[in-house]
Amino acid sequence: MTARSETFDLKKAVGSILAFVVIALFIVWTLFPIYWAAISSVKSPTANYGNLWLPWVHFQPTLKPWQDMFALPEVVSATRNSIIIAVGAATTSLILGTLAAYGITRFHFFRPQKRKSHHLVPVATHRAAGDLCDAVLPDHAVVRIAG
Amino acid sequence: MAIGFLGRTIFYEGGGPVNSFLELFHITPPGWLSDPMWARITTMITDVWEWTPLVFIIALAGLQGLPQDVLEASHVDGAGWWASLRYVTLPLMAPILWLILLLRAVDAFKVFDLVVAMTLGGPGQATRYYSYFNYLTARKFFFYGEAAAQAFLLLFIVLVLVSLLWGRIRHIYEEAQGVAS
Repeated sequence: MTARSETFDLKKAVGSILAFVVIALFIVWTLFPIYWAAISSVKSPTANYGNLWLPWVHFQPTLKPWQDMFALPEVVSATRNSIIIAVGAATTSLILGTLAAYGITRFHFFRPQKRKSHHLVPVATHRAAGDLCDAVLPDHAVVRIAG
Repeated sequence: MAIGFLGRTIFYEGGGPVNSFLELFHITPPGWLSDPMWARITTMITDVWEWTPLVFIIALAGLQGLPQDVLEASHVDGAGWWASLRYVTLPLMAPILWLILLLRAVDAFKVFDLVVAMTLGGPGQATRYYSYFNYLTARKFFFYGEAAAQAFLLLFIVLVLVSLLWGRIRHIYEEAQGVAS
C-alpha cells in the first residue's frame, strides 16, 4: 500500500515537474522577444550589434535611445498620421459595414431557392481579392518594393 | 500586401481604372497617390475596402443575435422603423459597435502593408504612419534602440486606446445589466 502510494506520488511529482518545465519553456518562448525589445531600447547604438543580452553584465544600459526618440519631430507626425487613419478608417468601415448588415437583416432581398448565399458575397470578395493577387503577383515584385 | 498592390493599380494616376472612369465624365481626377491629403484618403479608402466585410460579418452576427421579442414588442407599441432602430436596435447593438470600432481602430493605427505597397510613406511624409516610421527607423536608418523604444511607445498608445474604448464598452454592458435586472 505504502509502496503503491509512493510510486503514485513519484508519478505525480514527475508530472508536475514536466508541466512546470513546459510552462517555463512556453513563458520564455513567449516573453523573450519582448525582453529583447526592452533591452534593445536601453542599449547604446554599438551595443545593438552582438550577442549582448544581460544588462549591467554584457552592456551598460542607457536611456539615450528614449531621449533621442522623443526628440524626433517625426514621431509626433507619424502618430498624428496614424490617428487620422485609425479614426477615419474605423469610423467609415463601421458605418458602411453596419449599414450593409442592417440592410441584410431588415429587408428581404431576392434569394434564389431560399439559400442565404448572398451573405457570403462580401466575405468572398474580401478573401478572394487577396488570394487572387497573391496568385497573380510575382513574389519578387513584393520583395523588391518592400525590401 | 496584395490589397495594397491592388489599390495602387486601381488608383494609378497614368490611366488607372478610377482615373479612366472619371475622365469619361470630364472630371479632373485628384492626385490619388501624389497629393499629400489625397494619399492619406486613398490609403484610408483601401483600408476601408479591405476590412468592411469583417465589420459586416460581426455586425450581421450581432444583429441576428438580437432578441426578436423586444423588436416585436416595440412594433406592437406602435414604433416605426426609425423609432425601433433608434431606441431598440441601436442601444442593443451598442456594445458590439464599440467593439468593432475598437478592433478596427487598433488595427488601422498600426497599418503597415498598405503603405509599403502603395506609397512608401510619401508624398513627403504624408502617409508615414507609425508602424512604417518604426520600420524605417530600424531597417533603413539602423537605429535599433530608438526603434525598440518606439515600439514600446506604440504599445502604450494602443493600450491607452484599448482601455478607453474598453471602459466605454464595460460601462454600456453594466448599464444593460442594470436595465435587465
